[in-house]
Amino acid sequence: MRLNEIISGKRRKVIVLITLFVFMMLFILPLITIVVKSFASDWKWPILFPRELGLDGWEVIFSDPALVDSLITTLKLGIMVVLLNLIIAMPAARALAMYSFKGKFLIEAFLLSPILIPGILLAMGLQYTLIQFGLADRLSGVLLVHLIPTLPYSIRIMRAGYERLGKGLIEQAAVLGSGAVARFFTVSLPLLIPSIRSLMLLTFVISLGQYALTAIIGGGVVTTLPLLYYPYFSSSNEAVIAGFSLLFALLPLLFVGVAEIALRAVIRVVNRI
Amino acid sequence: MNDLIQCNQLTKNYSGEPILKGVSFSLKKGEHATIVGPSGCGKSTLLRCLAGLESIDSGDIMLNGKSVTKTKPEKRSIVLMFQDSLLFPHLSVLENITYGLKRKKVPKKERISEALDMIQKVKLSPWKDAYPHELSGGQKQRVSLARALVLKPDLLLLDEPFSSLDASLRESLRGEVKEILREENITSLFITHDRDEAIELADMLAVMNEGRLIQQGTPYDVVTYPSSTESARIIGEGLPLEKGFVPQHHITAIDPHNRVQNDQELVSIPGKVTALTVKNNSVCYRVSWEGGTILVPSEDKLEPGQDVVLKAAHVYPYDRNGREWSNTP
Repeated sequence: MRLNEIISGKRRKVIVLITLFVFMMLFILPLITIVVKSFASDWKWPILFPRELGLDGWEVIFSDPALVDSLITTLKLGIMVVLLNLIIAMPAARALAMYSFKGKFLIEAFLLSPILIPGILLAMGLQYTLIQFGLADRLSGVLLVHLIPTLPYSIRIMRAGYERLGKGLIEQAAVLGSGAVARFFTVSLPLLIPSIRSLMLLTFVISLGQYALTAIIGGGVVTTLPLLYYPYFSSSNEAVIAGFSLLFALLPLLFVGVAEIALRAVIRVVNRI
Repeated sequence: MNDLIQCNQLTKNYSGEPILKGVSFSLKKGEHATIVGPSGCGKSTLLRCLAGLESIDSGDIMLNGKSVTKTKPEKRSIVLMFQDSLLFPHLSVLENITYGLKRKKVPKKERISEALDMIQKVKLSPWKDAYPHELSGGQKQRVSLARALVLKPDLLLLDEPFSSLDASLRESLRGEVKEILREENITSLFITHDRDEAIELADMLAVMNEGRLIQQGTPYDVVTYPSSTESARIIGEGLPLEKGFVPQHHITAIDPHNRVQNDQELVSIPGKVTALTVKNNSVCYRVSWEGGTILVPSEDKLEPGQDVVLKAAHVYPYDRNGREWSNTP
């Protein structure tokens, strides 16, 4: 018997409303609270509604001279991490999804191993090497070390995408006269968009959240948003913390939104009749 | 007339296992050939090699007198239509059909007009803006055919394109495809494991088994005079015997009591009726015998399970010579 046959119309409506309410409480309410909190100067439990709203918290954030620089560094780093992940993960995932070769299992295990080893342990070990190569305390060093926690996930995501895509459509495009580059832009890329979107969001968020790795390899010279943001946790100004949290949440959304628009524009141009 | 395509001694191995064992054949412009053979005999691999999707280990593929053995698939004027329609899901019917024309840099106006013409030929005009998920299985295969034909390839390869469709649709669609291929004068090579389909679509028919083309000829010759028991079992409707082949139409009787005593009858084979069926408006019985099963028309009333004797007056000796498809080495 189907669920809607068991549950009568009125009761179903009530269940839907309760479910919606629970989702609101879990996802939207915390967001609304943070937005309001960033404008409320003194809003603490058990006060239910803020007594006073203002821009004090935001003023503190924007008056920090390092904010703009750290935002630019964070964005630059995030974009580069995402691009490098795409460049490395796409061919690797394609090979793992579509070809069988000797040692495939070992390569898979090696590519996924960074997830199993704590990142901080790898960073401590890598720091010495990066100093030797002159990459410590530099953005390029931080970029490389951010690949450790992101690349295994990227390869996993893209591999699933390539497995869904399969070989058939690509071969069909080839016999219809499409070269390798055209096949990528006209068939693979449009059909891999859901995977690419997941990859971009996840790697950007993981990169954005790296405090320890950035601090160890960046040596305090490369200042990303978390390096600026975490010390504020020790302050009592919750409006500032809420404001930073919003900035933190908006950055990946903004990035993925812009990237998606750009990707779709490219695909539209390539696939025009 | 020169050959459009000529394949010489093609071989292909997968992990040491031979898949193609020296396949040779040639086709002239406008010919419609079919290769029939059981699953796993190497038919699809042969087509993939011709299309350039697989490399061959040895041999040569000549298209219009030039070797294309090492040419990439996108540079060969050979289009392969797969078992599944493989339409691009993010493109509409019109966009799918113009896909190849765009890659060939055909001007926009021209490619749209050519695609619309082809859409009309495959009777899909009302669906030109539809997306693949909105189409039925038969419509998808029509789009796939239109997408291949609009490119006017030198050779169209069809890899069992109707196998996923139901029987009646398959029958009507293969008639349509045959007509369109003739209208467009496109040389085609069709592979199937379905005997009826192979015979209906072919001007020239080849039988493939275990990586070899074991017989080539006109459909009538191949079906009536199989060159070996192997070929007879795959394609011939009749009785493949050791001393020769008895075509189905030479089976003179299904005798339930083995009563007929006629000197002219060379063959008397015991069998058992397994099922009753109707083919071409005639009552037929499927009779199993020691060499397999055969469908025989009969006006007698027989019951499944009944022992019978198949009788025939002619046995054709297997003959490899004189019925070759073309200038096969």
